[in-house]
Amino acid sequence: MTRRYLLLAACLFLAVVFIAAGIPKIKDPAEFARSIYYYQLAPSAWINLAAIYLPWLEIALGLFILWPRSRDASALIMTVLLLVFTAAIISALARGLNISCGCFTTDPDAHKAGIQNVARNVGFIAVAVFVLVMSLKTRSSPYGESTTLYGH
Amino acid sequence: MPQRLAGRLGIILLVSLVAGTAANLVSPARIKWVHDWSTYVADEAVEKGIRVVNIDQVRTIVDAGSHFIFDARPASDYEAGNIPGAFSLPVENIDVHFEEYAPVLTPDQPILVYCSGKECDESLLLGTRFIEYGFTNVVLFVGGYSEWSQAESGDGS
Repeated sequence: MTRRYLLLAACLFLAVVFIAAGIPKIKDPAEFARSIYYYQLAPSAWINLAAIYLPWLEIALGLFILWPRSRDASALIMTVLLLVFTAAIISALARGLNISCGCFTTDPDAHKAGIQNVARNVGFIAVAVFVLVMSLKTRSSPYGESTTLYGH
Repeated sequence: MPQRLAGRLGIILLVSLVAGTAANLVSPARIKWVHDWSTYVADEAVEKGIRVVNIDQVRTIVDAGSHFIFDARPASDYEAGNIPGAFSLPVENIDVHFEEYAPVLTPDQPILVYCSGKECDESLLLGTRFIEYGFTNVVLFVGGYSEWSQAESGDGS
């Protein structure tokens, strides 16, 4: 029972995080593209495509994680995305780039990316992995979907 | 089960793809599908009133000593190598560093800024700050130190 509520809380938390991250980028994709450019990692031709699709993927993940049937897939993509984002921030820090994270705002003058962003992402990854493991366990249990969040 | 998981992954990605495509077709904030970001620094510089110079023009400037040359890279990069006659003015904490040079600079003083190369934008940020401070003759070398050092080593060989 406790585990079920913990799972519900984790899903809601991730939903809020990803939707909150996606909305400002959808509002201003040009500024988000600039944020991606500042990382100096993505090939030039991919930057705008990433700026167009990544925010919508974040929104979709934030919604799909609330649906028990797609929770495992959402948590898996979230984990991969967060790992990529974290690697990008670490890479930027290692190269001495003084850039904003571009995580929850597209403002280039926002608080600069730092080790605090890495620590925060590690926390998000832990929550996403928890949801992924719990979802996969639930699916493989003999009781199947009935033991999921909205079961019984 | 892996096939079902793959199916669910596919649905999420497909929804994102459709939503992103639709939004970028109708949104007033839509952007080009593909943009050449390699010219971003030069385009932005011109827009901000900063003239862009090439390697030959930089050589002329260095030989003539006509400009204050500022290296916008971190101090450690500057110390490892720089364009002759350049001063270090890292774009981090620019306001603090700027105080050191402000007394000897007049608004019409020709200034050249550069950073590591085509992929960096510290020179753009630095040039923009000079414009904001009221300087009227700011030029930017997009190729930066990488193009300079390559050209110099090419000449030497």
